[in-house]
Amino acid sequence: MTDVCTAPTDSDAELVARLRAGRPDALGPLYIRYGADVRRLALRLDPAADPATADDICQSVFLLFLDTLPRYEERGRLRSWLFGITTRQCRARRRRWWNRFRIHRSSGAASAGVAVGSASIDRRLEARQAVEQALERLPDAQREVLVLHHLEGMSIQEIALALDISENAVSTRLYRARRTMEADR
Amino acid sequence: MSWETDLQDWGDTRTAPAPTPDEAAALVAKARARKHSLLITRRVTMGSTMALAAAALLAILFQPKLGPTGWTWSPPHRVATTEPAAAEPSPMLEGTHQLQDDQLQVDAGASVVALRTGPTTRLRLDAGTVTATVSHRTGSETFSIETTSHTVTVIGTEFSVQQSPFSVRVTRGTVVVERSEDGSQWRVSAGESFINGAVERPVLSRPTPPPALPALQTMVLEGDLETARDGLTQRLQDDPTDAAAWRLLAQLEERAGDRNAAVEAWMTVVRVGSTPHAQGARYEAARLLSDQPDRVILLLTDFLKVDHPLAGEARLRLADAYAATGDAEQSRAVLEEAAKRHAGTSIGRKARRQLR
Repeated sequence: MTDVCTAPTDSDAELVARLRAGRPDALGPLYIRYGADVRRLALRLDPAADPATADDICQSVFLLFLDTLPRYEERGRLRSWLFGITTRQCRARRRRWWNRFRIHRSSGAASAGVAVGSASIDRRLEARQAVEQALERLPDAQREVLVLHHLEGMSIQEIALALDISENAVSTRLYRARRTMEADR
Repeated sequence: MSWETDLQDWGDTRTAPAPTPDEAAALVAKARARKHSLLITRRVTMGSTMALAAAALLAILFQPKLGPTGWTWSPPHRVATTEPAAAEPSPMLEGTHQLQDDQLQVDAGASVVALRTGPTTRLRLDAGTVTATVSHRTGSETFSIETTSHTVTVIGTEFSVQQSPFSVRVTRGTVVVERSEDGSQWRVSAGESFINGAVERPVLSRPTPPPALPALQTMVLEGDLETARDGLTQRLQDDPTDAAAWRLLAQLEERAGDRNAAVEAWMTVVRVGSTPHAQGARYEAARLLSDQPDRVILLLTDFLKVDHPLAGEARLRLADAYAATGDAEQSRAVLEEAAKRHAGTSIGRKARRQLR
């Protein structure tokens, strides 16, 4: 395509330096490098989100990243910083949606009847649905740390840095989220 | 299996591809356009600041001396020489802005400047409407929007402000509206509005009942989608569990070409509707999500747990979805079941053809 996306070997720091120097073309390689991670996180943070929504969130995260450049201190990994922005974006989007109609999602118990597929597949599908519903019921703050820790493999310290909260707060939210997930089974 | 394993399994279904170089190039173009528009507004502001500074300098250099018969001249108050001329912040562009943990939606035609951001945020709204989603504030931290006549200070989280005629609509939480001229204050809570100098309760703001569903259905059929959407929104605010209204909203959004909104509405029918409603909604959502086989499999597997006139079509779609995920064995099993259950019908024949 164009030269904007052909710098795969540049380090994050080099690309960030170019962005700080007023060269938005450095955003292309970063988008290719971290876009899938951000899209995936958006899908996981909001179980109701579809790929198109995740793509919209992803684009806005990278554009917002330009606004936050002056505050980005490279203390942690760039991925964590982007995840922090993604988390805030997803939370804002969910608030908008929730506030429109104030729907409290119910678990919607599965109906009994003739099943298609093998028992193991049915069990897996049911388990996925149960997890999705349990995640939906978790408060945003707890779901965020659960997803970042268990699915994105981030440490407590990284999460604290990304969300700009204390490590104690992360641990408490994680503990509560785990307890709820355990109780929901 | 533990919930961690199930969570991991669920997480594996929620993945996304990396952006393509074309998508990256499009994003860079957006960033360039954004930078360009910001530069223009900054240049305009810089221009006014330079002019103000030059005027101040001239005033100092050419200030006449006082004499016994002379005269004196003082610079206008605004061109104070003791303070540097502060740069007027740039107006924020139309769209969504992230102000740390707060989010601000600037509508088209709105003119708003951020006087201060951070734990204490002050915005000045000169024209149009903005909607704010504000993070929790503690102690002396405030988030406020000032207009020429009023100041709105947040206690809660989500609200919108219109400059002229001044009005505030609170979606979530509580705000305090203060009239600049006499300091009078009003507390406006969620669902309430501040219009014409008074707080309107939700009942007052909606004197007429929402239109009946058949009337809304006619509007959709006749293509009057905007009016129908307004009516449905009103109905759903009254009763968010009205599955029939959600169904009509889903049909409306599909007709309007907004697939995501349609799917979201169908999924709400699944959650709030009775079994027949939920069954139909699962099928409709699966039909719209044909490019997401994982979700189609979940929806149609649930759909097929109860007998339904569309079970045959659903089995064919389910087989396609399994095939799309690379699970040929399961796809074949579903087709065999379709061929057996719907023998002698076009569905059965189609299933047999696909099995060959």
